[in-house]
Amino acid sequence: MKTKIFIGVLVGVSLLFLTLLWAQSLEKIAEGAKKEGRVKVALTVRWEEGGKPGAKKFVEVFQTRYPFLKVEYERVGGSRERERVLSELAAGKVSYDVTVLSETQVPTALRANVVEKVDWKSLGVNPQHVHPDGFGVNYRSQLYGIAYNRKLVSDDVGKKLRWEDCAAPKWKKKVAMDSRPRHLEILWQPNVWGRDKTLAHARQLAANETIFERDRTGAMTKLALGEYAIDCGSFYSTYYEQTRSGKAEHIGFTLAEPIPVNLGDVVFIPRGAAHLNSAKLWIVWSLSEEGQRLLDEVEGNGSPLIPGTQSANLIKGKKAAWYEPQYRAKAEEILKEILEAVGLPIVR
Amino acid sequence: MKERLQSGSIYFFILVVGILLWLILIPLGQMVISSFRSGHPAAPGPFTVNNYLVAYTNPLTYRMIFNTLAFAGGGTAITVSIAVFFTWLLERTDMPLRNLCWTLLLIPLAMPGLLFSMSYVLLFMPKSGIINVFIRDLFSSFGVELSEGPINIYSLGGMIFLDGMRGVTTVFLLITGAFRMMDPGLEEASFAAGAKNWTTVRRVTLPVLRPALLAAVLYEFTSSMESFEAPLVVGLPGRVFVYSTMIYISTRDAIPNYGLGAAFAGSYFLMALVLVYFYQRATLWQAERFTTVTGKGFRPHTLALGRWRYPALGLFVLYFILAVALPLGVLIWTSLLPVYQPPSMKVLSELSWAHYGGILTGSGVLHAMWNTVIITMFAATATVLLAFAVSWLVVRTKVKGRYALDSLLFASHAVPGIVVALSFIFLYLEPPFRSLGLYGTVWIVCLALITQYIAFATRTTNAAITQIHKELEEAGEVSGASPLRVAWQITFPLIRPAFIAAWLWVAAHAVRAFSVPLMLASRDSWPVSVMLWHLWDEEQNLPAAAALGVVLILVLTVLTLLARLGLAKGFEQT
Repeated sequence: MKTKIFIGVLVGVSLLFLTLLWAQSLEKIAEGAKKEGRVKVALTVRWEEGGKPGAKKFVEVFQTRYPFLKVEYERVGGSRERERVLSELAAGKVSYDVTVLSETQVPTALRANVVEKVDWKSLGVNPQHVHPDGFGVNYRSQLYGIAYNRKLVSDDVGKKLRWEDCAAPKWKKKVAMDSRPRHLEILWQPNVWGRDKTLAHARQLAANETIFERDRTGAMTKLALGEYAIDCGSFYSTYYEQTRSGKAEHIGFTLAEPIPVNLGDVVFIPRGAAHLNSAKLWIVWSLSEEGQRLLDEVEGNGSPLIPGTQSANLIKGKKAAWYEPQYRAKAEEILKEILEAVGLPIVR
Repeated sequence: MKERLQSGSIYFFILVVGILLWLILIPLGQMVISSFRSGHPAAPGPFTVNNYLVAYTNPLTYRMIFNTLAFAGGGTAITVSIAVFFTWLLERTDMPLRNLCWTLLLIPLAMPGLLFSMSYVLLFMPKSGIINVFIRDLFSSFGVELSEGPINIYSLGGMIFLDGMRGVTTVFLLITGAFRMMDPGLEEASFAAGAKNWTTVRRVTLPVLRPALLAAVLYEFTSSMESFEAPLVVGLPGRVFVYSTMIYISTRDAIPNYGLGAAFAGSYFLMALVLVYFYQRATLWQAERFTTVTGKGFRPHTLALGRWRYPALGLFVLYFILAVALPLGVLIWTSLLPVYQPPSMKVLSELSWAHYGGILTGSGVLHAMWNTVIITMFAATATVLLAFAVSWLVVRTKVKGRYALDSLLFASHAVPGIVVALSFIFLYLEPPFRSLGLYGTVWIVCLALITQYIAFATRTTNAAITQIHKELEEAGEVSGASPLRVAWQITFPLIRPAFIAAWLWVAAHAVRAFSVPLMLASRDSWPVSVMLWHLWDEEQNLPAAAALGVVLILVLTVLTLLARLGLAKGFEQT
């Protein structure tokens, strides 16, 4: 009993000590940020969507917390935009204090030495949100599901769609999918579908003449227009955005099990960023409960690790498949294998 | 005097060669080296031949080569057929409203390829394209139900159609002079021998114009091979890959592989080089062997079309509708909507000018327009100045190596825009050029455009300097002027019309340039063309992209007509 009390006290004191250290270091960062006075952020969240504030709200709340900081915000979209950012950083052009890359770009960014190393865990960021390479944080979580056009697929059928249906001959030429099918990477993991089943599925997708889109929002727009019946591997957040801006009248969405869950985009501070402390403050705040709940409100992709967020509620009681760190670290290799199987011209 | 000229020329020659090596050979050399490396240009990996193995053992590559040739061949066939037909109608027949049609035929030049392709996507998307919906509704009223189509723009056929329609004005401008200036005696002899109109066209007019037509065919084929917009906008969604899009997605899609892109670029460049060689041969052949303007009566015969006059005009109107009115109309419609939808009575109440307000007040658009102005002015001026310097060295001096210089420029004509951009990425992302900090600025875009257009500009200035008799320059030299002063104060003013023509040509291309800035510009240096693509592709804001496109087309239409007018007046004055 005494031992238990002792361990309890020890853990309590340690936590208190760590919290004090964290608070102290955050305070120090805030002091530095005050001197810097501004931060330039480039992330994937849209400034506004259908007249509803997105990143705009995020920035407004942040500035209420830290009124001494002026935030300049720019949107960096899909893989092509991120590749541009990576190339610019490699060329020594550091335009942002905080920016974002895809999981598959992390190895190149590390080799090119364009990342400011920060001990995020010591700043109080949930370790599960810290990238396995310790180079940035995953700020924007994604749930993957199946979107369908309700005029072409009834809700009775749509709500019961499974991942296997994406490659079913019944839906030949009627299914779209992103050219970076991240959900297949998650299904590829040995504890989910495994490599063989996923690659067989990918080959069947090719045989089914699946339409590959390079933009998830674009795919959702075309789905709403009826260009195809089903969009597999669609982000829940894209569906949420469309619903929020009143564009999802004809779109249904189902979370097929296992629900692929990814603590997505990697946010980091580029080496040579002009406003280092302000950048740290932004990232730590965006990963805080307040930041994540706000992200959940504007985009529907707050952390599923925080109770009450949409993601947490949606996967509650269901079979979820998390993208495990050891496989995320090999994301590029896994994606190459899948793209080869679906016949996209990205080859080893 | 000669010694002074010679030594001055040598230093100047070295300077010009240095600039050209920096612009052309070093980037291409760097690209070749990088094609044998793995990894990202920012963090190159070990040397390997894997990129070539992957590129040329993959069946998809050969499909891509076939697509490229089919696309270029099909597009060229359509373009040249339409252009020859309209040139003949406008230059050699009594079709009504010929002058108006001549001016209207210039307007497609003002529609960037990107916008043209985007507008046709809105018209012919398989399910929701406006014309497809209309056709299906029409079929439905006859009891024929179709679930999609019947036309799918996301196909090789769609790409060929777009490319075929796009190049008509350029080919028209290339061949119209030959039509206008051919010796009428040949046709008159044919009529005198009892041949009818069509027989004369088939057996006399076209054979006489064969060299000009061949040059136009090769020019158009080379341009189509380089074409990027239609393959990007309609080819990629339909999974129809050609060289330009294959290189693009190798470096910009899910998993970039720059080395693979460079390996593709190598064979692309060689194919283009062969075509450019034949184009050069064809233009020389045209110049040397087919003299059709003689000292004899020179007023080509006008053919009477009779009852075909108005049907001919109708065909022109149909072309104009397809090339200008329909795409512009759908862009205007889309630009007025909050979210793109096919026309219907229900949607009419949603129309507004909101997107135009957003464009005119948005700092991003104004900044992009400013970048476009800088890129256009700088690229055009620097290109023609450099071209003038090169031509002066090649034509007017006896410096050793001047023909090698000319050959280098000739070869650079074969480097497609996307390959120039890729080679610049390799050069400016890797040491030592990385330290210049040019990547992502408007200046790297300007340098790449100079590389792309210098060959054309030197062909123009070479021809112009050759026509100026040396006596005029010798008079300056005898009066004690330095060689550079002679070039600047005597030769340059005399070739000003050619200089203006080359400047306008480069400016007209630079203002619409897409592949080079798409690959090289950053957010704060991108021109309007890239911003348009960003709105369309990344933001999926079709109405805003359409509104910006409509504004751009209107501005370019005015500029095109003014340039045409100014050029004509400039030539008249000279």
